[in-house]
Amino acid sequence: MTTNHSSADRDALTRLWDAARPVEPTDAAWDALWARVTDRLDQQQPAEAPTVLAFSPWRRISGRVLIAAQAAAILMAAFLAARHRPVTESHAPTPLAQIAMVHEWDFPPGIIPMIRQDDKGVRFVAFAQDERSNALVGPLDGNFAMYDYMEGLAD
Amino acid sequence: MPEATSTVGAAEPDDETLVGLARSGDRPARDELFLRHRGIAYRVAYRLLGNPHDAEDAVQDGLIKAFAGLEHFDGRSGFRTWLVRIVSNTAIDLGRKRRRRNVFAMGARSNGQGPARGRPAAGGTFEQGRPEPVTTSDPAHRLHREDLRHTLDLALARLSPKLRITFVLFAEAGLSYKEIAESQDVPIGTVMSRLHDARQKLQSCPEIQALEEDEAG
Repeated sequence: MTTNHSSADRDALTRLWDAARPVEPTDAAWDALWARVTDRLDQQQPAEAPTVLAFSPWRRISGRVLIAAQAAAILMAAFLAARHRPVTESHAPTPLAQIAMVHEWDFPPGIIPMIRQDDKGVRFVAFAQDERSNALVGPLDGNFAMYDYMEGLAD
Repeated sequence: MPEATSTVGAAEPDDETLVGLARSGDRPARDELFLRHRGIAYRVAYRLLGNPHDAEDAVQDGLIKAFAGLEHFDGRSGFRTWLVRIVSNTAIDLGRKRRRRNVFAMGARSNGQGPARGRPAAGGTFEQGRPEPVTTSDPAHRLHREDLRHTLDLALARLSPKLRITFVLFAEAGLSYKEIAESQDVPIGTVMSRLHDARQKLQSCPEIQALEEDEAG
């Protein structure tokens, strides 16, 4: 005990402390303990190594090059796709003003016109109405319905 | 496996030099640091925990923490002080955990379950177990030392962890007030006060008083 006591009580405590000094482990026990410690330390190092490497300068540079290459490829593909895109794409909706200019119809009674957009573009379709049941029949082609009506007038 | 003598060389490099070498992966330097300070680390852990198995566990965990975090050693205090601080804090933590574990074990035994005997509980509630490895050849001397150690273990167990670690760092590890204050993150006055309280409580322990009476008689 490293204390320096003056009283009798403290001397007794000091004597007890020194007399009861713990016995250290044997050399074999120390060796086993140190082997466990070094094993754990060696296990920790490989686990930490990838973290260290991930932030190494070479990894950082190669990562940036890869990202830049991917970005360039995406931009190039977008540019080429824009260049080769047809002027009138079938999926693109036709402006309503353009429809109005091309088709001007007077619809006969019993014909219900509808504008439909499908894979062929924007089309005009018409539904004929059954006079008895008032059910819609069709869809009919808009031109067919109009010619049919005109034939009826001629008759 | 480290030899019993220094593997670094006859020049006996100081701890700071060895720490620098160990940081750069020098295994003999690490071994030498272990050989130099394992004894004090074990004695501190033993005084705090009161049994050899728990003390070895605390030293092992403390050594792993210390050498794994060697880059955090700033050199303000010596390596020995730094290692003792880590081992003592590890021992206190271990003592708390095993005290809880032993409380459960004692509960199980009272229900007729669990082992009949176990290690002395660490961190304040010692069972009736005794320190185990004693290598003295004289049986009478060995028994006497066992009795003394057991008496001191019981007396230390009566101290709170704060008082116990303060007293052990002072009396066993030989740390200064300032070093203890830094390791416990308290003012120096608190260290002095705790040391005074610890001495008072130890001296008033019935086990120590009985021992003194035996000596006087």
